[in-house]
Amino acid sequence: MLVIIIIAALTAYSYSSTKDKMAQNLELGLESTAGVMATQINASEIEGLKPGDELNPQYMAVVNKLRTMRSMNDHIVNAYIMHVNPDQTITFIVDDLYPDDPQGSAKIGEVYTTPDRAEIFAALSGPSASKQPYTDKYGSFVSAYAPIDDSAAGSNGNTTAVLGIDVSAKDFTTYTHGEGYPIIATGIVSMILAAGAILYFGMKLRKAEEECRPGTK
Amino acid sequence: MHKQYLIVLLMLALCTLGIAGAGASQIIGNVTAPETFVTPPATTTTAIPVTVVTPMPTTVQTTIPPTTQIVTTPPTVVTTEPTITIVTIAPGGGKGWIDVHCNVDGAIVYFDGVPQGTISGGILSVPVAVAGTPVSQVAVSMAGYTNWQGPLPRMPAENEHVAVYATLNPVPTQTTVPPVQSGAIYASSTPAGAAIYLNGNFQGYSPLTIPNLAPSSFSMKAVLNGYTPDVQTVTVYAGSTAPYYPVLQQSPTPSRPTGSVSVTSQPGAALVYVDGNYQGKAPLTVTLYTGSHNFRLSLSGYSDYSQTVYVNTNTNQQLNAIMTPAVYGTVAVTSMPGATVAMDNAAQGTIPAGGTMTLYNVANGNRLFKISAAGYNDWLNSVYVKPNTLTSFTATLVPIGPNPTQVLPTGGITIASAPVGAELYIDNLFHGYTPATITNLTPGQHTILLKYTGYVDYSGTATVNPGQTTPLSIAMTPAPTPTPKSALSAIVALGAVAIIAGLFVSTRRRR
Repeated sequence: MLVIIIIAALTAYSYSSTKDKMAQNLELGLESTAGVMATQINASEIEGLKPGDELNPQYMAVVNKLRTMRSMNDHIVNAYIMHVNPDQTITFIVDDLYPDDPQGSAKIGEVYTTPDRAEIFAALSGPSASKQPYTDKYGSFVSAYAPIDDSAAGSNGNTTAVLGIDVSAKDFTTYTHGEGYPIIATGIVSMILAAGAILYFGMKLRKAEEECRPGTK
Repeated sequence: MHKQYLIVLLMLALCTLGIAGAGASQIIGNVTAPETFVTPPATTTTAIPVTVVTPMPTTVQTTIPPTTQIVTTPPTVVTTEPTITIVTIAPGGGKGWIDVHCNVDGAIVYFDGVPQGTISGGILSVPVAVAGTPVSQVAVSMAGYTNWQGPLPRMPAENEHVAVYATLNPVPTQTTVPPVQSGAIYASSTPAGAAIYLNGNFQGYSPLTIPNLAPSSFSMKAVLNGYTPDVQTVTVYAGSTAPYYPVLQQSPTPSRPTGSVSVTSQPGAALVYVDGNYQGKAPLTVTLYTGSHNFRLSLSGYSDYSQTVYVNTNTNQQLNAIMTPAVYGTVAVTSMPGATVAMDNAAQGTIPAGGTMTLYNVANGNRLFKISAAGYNDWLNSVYVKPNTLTSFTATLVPIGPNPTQVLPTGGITIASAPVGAELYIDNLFHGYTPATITNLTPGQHTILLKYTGYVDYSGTATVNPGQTTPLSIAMTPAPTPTPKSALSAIVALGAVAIIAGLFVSTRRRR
């Protein structure tokens, strides 16, 4: 019994640590992707965009750029650019889904209320990612964010905007949990084998004892 | 005056009779205090230290039916707090009054939330049934004034008047918004000098204080060259300075293994390129990461030498590049677009729109170029093509007929050489043999090339001034004669002797 408990405990520990590790790896990967994408956006490309400029050539140029970049990874379902205002509100500047889905995406200047608010603030200083899946009015996602530096001459690298990318929470869960299933299967098989071995050798031992008992043939 | 005294005396007499008949005691007073209380059934006047007393006595006419009295009160006491004064009349019949006194006419009086009427002339007297539902709360409200509310300690007895005094104060108008107290962040990095960013915006170099921050959380970043950036969230509270003390860790240096390659060339001074990057002239030693690297050596007059070398970790490898003399060179012809180019009577094409035509893999040596275009005189000259070198020249076509353009002043060069008879090239164009005087040269720098068999080519520049002839005297250097390969022969001879000697010794021993 103790053997089975130990196997179960080890299996649970392995599964949990693997899942955490996978989530951490995914977050790091997303942060890297967002960071690289952010370097490809020039601050001047989004400068001056104001509500009503959706679908104008400047807006569409940025949208096409974001789409091209995120097309490298099918799991990234959305890429967008936000601005963190001095009053700490977050407003959208570009949403690459807008041309195809104006109702299900964000317009310029739309205030973004998100559980990932702290991560977006952190992205003013460097790439960050959701600690766990979150749900907002657009769906359930895991996101990564990275700063877009201004490109003004003589600048010290101030952050002018934050780029965000989304991976669906379902994909995230599938990825992080899926890698742990073989561990669970291995643990279950090990427990069955251990139980079988214990049963088999127990019966054999009992039989031997019965044979050795005085009075038996 | 006498008449007034008479009236007062008469009223006092009537009042005395009425009170005596009713068996009642009257308590007069407008006692003020910060708290509501009920005056005892005796005349009392209480004043607290914060009260302001009006200088002149005032007269208040109480409405105590059925008896009406004019009572002269002591100086009026005005307080800032709501005041309730209860005037108690001894218990009597089944009907009493609650008199609500208020400083604002038009204010609405509520008993337990039920409106009873409005204040008029500073008072509202509401009759109540003594045996009815007792009133517990009295409220007075008026738009633009603070509401007043207070408890009614008890219901009046029959014919009893209970006075309630309510003071309404105007709603204070908010003229100035109290300033929000700000905070600050003090940033001091280890080591000092890191660039400090607040919410992604550069603030200065550590240590520094960032003042006037609204209470909130801020994303802080410290960046220093050679160190891993630090990112933290710092919360600022009003009136305090939040610390930000990032301890920066040195960036890990990549521990990639390296090796070195010592490059030599024959002949020497070849230009060495590794993976396309110029490293210097051979001989030299370059340190490279372990792995394959492409070496290319280039030397004028020789074909490029290219070799891929796998650099091993912590080892020094030798690369000796033996350069082979080049046979071909490159020629760039600049002339009028559309003009046809022929080299050694073979057509090469026409000058493109850019004005320069480049010919590759041209055999080195003298080549006769002819540039022609309709309406222009042919340009014909001999050009010496150097091996593995770009030889460029300009062919200026002159229109047929009188030249309408203004003739620019020209100069010339007189060249004498030792030995005489060397081939003379000016700007890569053949101009005969030395000694020679070349005229009609444009003012400025011109390249001079002298060639003579058995001598090292002379190459230099000369300045031509307008209207002048520049004299040049050049002594050419004899080319070095190749060294006989005697050393190798000696070694071979020595080796042969050693072998013969060895054979001889072994033969002798056998015997």
